[in-house]
Amino acid sequence: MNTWLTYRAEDFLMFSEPVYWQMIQTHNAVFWPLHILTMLAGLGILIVLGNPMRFARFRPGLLIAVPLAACWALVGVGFLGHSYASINWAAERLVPLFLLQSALILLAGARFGGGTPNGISAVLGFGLLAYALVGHPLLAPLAGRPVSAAEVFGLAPDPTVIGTLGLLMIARSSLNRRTALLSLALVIPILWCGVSWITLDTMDAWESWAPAVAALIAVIGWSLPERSASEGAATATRSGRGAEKPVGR
Amino acid sequence: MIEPRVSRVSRRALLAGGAGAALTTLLPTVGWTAQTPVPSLRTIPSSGAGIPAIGLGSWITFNVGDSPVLRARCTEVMDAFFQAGGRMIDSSPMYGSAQSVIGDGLRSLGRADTVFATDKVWISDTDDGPDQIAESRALWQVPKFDLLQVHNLVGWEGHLRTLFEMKQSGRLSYVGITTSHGRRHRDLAEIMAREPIDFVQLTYNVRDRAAADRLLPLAQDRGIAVIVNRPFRRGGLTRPLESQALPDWAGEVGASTWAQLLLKFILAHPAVTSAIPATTQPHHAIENLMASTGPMLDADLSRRLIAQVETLI
Ligand SMILES: NC(=O)c1ccc[n+]([C@@H]2O[C@H](COP(=O)([O-])OP(=O)(O)OC[C@H]3O[C@@H](n4cnc5c(N)ncnc54)[C@H](OP(=O)(O)O)[C@@H]3O)[C@@H](O)[C@H]2O)c1
Repeated sequence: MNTWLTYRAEDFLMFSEPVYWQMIQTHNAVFWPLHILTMLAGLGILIVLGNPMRFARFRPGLLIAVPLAACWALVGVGFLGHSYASINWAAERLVPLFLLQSALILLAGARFGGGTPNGISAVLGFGLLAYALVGHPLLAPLAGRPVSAAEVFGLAPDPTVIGTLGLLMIARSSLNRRTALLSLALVIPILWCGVSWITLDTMDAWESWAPAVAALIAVIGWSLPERSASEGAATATRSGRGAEKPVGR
Repeated sequence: MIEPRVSRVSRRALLAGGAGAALTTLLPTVGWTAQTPVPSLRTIPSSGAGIPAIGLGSWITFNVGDSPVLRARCTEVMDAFFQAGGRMIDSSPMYGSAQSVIGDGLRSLGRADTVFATDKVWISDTDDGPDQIAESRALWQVPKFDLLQVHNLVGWEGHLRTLFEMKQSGRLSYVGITTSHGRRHRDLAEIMAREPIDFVQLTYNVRDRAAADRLLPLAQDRGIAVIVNRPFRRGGLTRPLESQALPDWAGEVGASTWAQLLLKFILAHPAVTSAIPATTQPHHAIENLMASTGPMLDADLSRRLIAQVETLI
């Protein structure tokens, strides 16, 4: 039998829960004060997504995608390739996936025209994005860890991934359909949620619910039929305001 | 009660059961003194050399990344371990930053000569084994490893060839192979029967006793030293037992904690050379070493411990 098949998740957990949170705190110290920039980027994304048409002159798709893609690259190289790699040799192997996601986001952004988000999909999406920006960083102080150990959007993977899931759902509601590109851009975030959930759960960290619930919401939201998912957005699209644009436009 | 199989044991160690037990409760506050008992030694069959019956694991506990505070804490654990007479530290390239944490600790404590450096080779492509070993040695900052083991039988045929060559040329003292969680015992038994290995590392504790059926007797027959990993099931035994009262006979074997009883159960098996509990606490490192002093559990007490633990966990 292949030896690797005999391993379980527990066998690959190489660090304890306190060490994991300590690593996040050290990561924050190394990258401070980039947090201000990434949070502002998140806020900016939220504002543009709220009404992409208001930013029609500036290509709203790119306004959203460029900072988000930069966040994914930063999390890939800075968090996975540097901080997390110091306690988990497997982390470095995930860096290319995060860079690929960054490229996918740019591509999707370049094609995104954007209508007014609406329907269940938009509600779920804005909920996830708001949680990623404001809620998730609060888990650290809620768990009794210092604020300096908070997981912040754009620097730590979980809030960045959860925010991205929200954003993709909002984009879908704006376009009133699940494009192949948006569906593809969902894969890596969902996979990461799985990895993070298993890691946190194996460490017995109660925070494991966060990536698990986020992924569940995204999967359920994504599988909703178009009409109920984006009711209302159709108006915008029909009036020609929310169409996916060709690549390289 | 039975006495442990010891080769070179100080008189103090043999007298130490009760004293050591009382001492462990004081250690966190009073520190270690020269008057305290030294851990018992057991013989490595292939060389006749002695090795303390308790070593130190490093999986999870020593993988603390770049945090200076946590790295310093690991050095404190190593310091306590060495001062109390410990020697064998076990690690692997699989354990993240543990190797470099050990290396930095050894250097700052000046203990590169004291340590019985025990590491592993863990890579699927056996051609890459020598490079991985060289990298591990650089992280440990030791001139050579005492024992190298093929981790979890990964690529064992190729890696064993490399390790035997290293031993032949004097770059390694002992060759071994490891498994854990009761995995692949049949394969391991075949290797033990066929290959001239010095050490085998496996899981054996009060709840995981499968190794006693075949592997431990085989090790005795073949003159292979046995290192026992996961003595506390990664804390799965010590944590729930902590809040439970000790059996009333614990004092008879000089055990003042459940951890010591669990280790005395393991060391009672005559095939066992060393158990390697991992810890983040300096006083636990000492407490564990002290479990090797005084009497071990006899067959009756072992049975009673098994029954008691089964009702409690
Ligand atoms: N295949 C392989 O080669 C393999 C597989 C598994 C393990 N291993 C080796 O075996 C070593 C030991 O196994 P393990 O890491 O699974 O863990 P373990 O030694 O069975 O248990 C470690 C846990 O026990 C606790 N502990 C230690 N001493 C204690 C004491 N005196 N009182 C109360 N609690 C105590 C520690 O907590 P505190 O930090 O609070 O003390 C830690 O949580 C590993 O570190 C590794 O080197 C090898």
